[in-house]
Amino acid sequence: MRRIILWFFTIIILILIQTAILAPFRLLPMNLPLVLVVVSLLFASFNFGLTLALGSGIVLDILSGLPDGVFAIAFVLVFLLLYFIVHNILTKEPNMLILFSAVAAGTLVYYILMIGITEFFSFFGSRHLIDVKGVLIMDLAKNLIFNLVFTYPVLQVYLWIEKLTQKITKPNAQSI
Amino acid sequence: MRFIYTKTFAKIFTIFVILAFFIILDATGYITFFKNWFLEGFGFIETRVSNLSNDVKSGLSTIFTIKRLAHDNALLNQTVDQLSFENARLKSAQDENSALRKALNFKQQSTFNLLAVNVLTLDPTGFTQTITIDKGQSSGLKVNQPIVVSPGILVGKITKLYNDSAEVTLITDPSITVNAEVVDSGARGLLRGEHGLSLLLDLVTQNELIKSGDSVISSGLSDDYPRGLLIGQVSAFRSNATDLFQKAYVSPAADLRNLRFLFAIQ
Repeated sequence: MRRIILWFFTIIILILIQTAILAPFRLLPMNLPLVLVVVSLLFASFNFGLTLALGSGIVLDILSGLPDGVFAIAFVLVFLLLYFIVHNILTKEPNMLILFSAVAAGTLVYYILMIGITEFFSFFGSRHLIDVKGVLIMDLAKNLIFNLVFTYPVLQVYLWIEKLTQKITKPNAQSI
Repeated sequence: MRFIYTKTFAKIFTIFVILAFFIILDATGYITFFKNWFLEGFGFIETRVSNLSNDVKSGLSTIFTIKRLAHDNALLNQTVDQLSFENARLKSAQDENSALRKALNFKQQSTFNLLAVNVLTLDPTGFTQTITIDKGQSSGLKVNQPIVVSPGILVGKITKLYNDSAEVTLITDPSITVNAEVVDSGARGLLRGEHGLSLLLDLVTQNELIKSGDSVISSGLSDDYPRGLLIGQVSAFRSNATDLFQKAYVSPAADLRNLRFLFAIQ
């Protein structure tokens, strides 16, 4: 439980960094929670990665203007797809090359899924439509670059939080 | 063993059930209170961190621009003189206008009834151009009400209402269209967002003369926006003489990525 609470606040802090610190310096668009999900699929267990993908998606859904569920579905599908490719097709120990390739692939898949899911939601009367041409021409390249630039910092955050989680949960394990 | 009988399938299935519940709860409005609370909390922290970032940014930009200050100052002095003269001329014209309106029994132009609102959050994802404001249905706001920054610069309109907050879609979102008019020439057209970067003024007939730098205002043709709200300036053209209509890019007058205090026109 402590681990989940800690990771919930980590997701919030990553979104805060993205919107309140990097956006005023025109470093946008980027998606730090997506990078975190990709990092988790390489370094964490299936269960934990899936929970993190769902949690990150729901938080972004609440904060975004798109219908709720769009980001959560996209994040979960990105996680499942990449997890399958990395663990069942590549079946290699994670390294930096795999990590950066996974972030790049994750960003591309995320954009395709977002467009698809939003179009699907529009069948059910959602008024929001994504400007597909604008998103693909203007945003995708910048998002890809920024996500890759921030992959290493997010990896460090991930490793640091995991260490912190171990420290927090250790006394409990001893008491048991 | 078939995949549907595995634990992995059960986990994935559970996740999608949770997701379905989340979507249904949102659609039925059961989590609105929680969303409001979350948006207010997040918005409170985001505003403070963002203000700090902007302070740092302006501090850094001051260092870089200090060299240009003397030159800018001279230019601004010149502009102030020019605008003072223009202001005096316009005041005199306004007096004359109101006197003539009175004489002809015309209805006096009404001023806007404004409600001050604060920005809680900006859409962090970049897929839509939306912001959340700190007032909603309980303050008397309604869907489609225009939102402006203090001097009457159009920012967007309310698209979703909660009890204590509201979602505003910015004019740079492709889903928003505004009936617009170029001030100098009186050319009218339809303005639409170009994916958060600029605005596109479309459907302007070829016989109208529009030039770079012209101010664009809301024409008031539709009921959504009152006439006279400043939208931006013409920055470039996208059409040629053979096109049926002229198209021009318009740069928004407001800094839409840095909004803090706004007003709802009631």
